[in-house]
Amino acid sequence: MPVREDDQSIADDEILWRRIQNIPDWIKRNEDGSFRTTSVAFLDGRTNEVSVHRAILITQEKALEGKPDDGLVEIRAGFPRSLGQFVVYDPIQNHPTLKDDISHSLICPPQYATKGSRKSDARKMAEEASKHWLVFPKGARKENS
Amino acid sequence: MALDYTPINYYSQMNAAQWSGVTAVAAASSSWLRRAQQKLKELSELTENWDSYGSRPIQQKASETAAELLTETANFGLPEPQIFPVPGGGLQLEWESAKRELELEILPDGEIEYLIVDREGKMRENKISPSWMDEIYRLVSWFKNSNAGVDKL
Repeated sequence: MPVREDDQSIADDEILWRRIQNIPDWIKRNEDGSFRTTSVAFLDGRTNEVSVHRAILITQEKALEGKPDDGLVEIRAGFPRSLGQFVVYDPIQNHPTLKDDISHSLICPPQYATKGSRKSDARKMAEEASKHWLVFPKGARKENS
Repeated sequence: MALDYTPINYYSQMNAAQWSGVTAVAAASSSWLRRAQQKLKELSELTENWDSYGSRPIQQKASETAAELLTETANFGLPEPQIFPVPGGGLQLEWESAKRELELEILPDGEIEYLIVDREGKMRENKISPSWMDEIYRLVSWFKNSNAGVDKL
């Protein structure tokens, strides 16, 4: 695993986007009628690093290219930082399997992190991001209506 | 200290009315268990990059542990869980009632982590030891107790 450092050139109020899979169960209805995505959307069981996009470097159309049925949520960089996470700029270029993406970034725990908050952090990020749906997954609203 | 959980001994102390309840729960569990096993099979067929962010497929060890967990939680009388693939090659089982939530995440190597959320939104999480049966029973008991906060686990 590469050593990650928080990228201070990404301001706390910069907007990050995360694609949400078009899987009906990923979206849950809150008591107030709003929708939230499962914490799984902000988990990675292998690297603990969650891919996001810097909104200033990509369009919604580009972020959903090839995934027209997926959703898109936004979260400000300051939120994961408030949980002790790093925000790291990680553009993808010439990757063997992934498309080039100059907006690609990561939310990841610092190397020295020892606190047991991996899952609750993911849950909190999912809740926060679910306040800001840019695009709702095509199949989810029907299942929840 | 290990919990003394032996379903057979527990059942042997129940009266006829309690038995009928157990039978109903067992039937319901059996019904969802088949659906859940089928869902698990479908998820195990996800291919590389299923999440569009480069995730590996679901790892075999994760699938095996999830299958064991489904059987055991069905035996404990839990309702049907939601089953999710987790980026990186793991799986997550989720139960939600009006007042509480239980998440069991199976990591790609088969290790288990849990998160519980109570009615006030308080959270608690931890890893589960390799001999996880007692801990699963403790979590299930917490989930089925409608009054306990996360501090009562």
